[in-house]
Amino acid sequence: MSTEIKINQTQFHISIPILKYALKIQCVNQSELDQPLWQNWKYAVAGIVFGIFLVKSEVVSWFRIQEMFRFQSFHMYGVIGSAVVVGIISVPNHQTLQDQNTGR
Amino acid sequence: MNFIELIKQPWPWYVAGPLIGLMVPALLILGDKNFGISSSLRHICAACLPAKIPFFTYDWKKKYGICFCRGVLLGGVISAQFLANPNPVIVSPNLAKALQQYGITDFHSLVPTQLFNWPNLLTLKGITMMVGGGFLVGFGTRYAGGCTSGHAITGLSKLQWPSLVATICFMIGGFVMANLILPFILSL
Repeated sequence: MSTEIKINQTQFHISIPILKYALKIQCVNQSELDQPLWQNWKYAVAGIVFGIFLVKSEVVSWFRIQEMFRFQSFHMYGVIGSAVVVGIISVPNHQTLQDQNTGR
Repeated sequence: MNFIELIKQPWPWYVAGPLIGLMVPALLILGDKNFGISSSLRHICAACLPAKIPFFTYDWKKKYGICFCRGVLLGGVISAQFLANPNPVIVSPNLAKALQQYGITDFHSLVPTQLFNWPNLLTLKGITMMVGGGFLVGFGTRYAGGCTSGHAITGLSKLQWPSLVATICFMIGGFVMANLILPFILSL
């Protein structure tokens, strides 16, 4: 903890903006993430993949959603059902995860 | 048929469903994160509102969700630009018949462009559906603490009871809206 405070103090005295920025990215204490901000690119990539899934499976389609709620097509039930089954199987330690149930 | 042509077609449920399900462990592996979309609405508010509202005073920069959502948006753009299905959306004949009563005949897009367009935003029907719908999405997801992806996919994958309740209620709400309320709005 003491080193972190030191780093923040150093950061405060640096006058060159770009260095300041670089240090900030590296050193911001992220108790929640425990990883630097730039690591967020991983989530952006995951998001791109997920966006393609959503569009190509047509689950974002207004027509598909109407069909689902009017019981005119199995498509959405198939997508949601198989996604949940795969999700349940692939998530280990259900009890631990339930204990840390936080915002989604 | 080559690979690109194959993925340009709409993906069947038994391909898309498991892939979406795999996003849950993928995000857990990436950084022990819950997979959800709607919390980003809150982060955007936290980022944009200068007021000291307790609900919005936290370090939104630490939340991965906005990056994930930007990615989803970009993924949608990529799909639309490079992987778009050239054929109209295949709509069940029953739905096509029902929608015809309300003048919806164009099935070339994922959403009915005859309903969701700029001029329509100035009509009672358009403003009810677009502005009213947007409000309900924003309010409901925060009130329930998650949207369809957060509750139905992540929550159920983690066997959480509240998520099952939320999912059942989403479905009931959807049935009521699609069958009882929407016909009324469409006939406005």
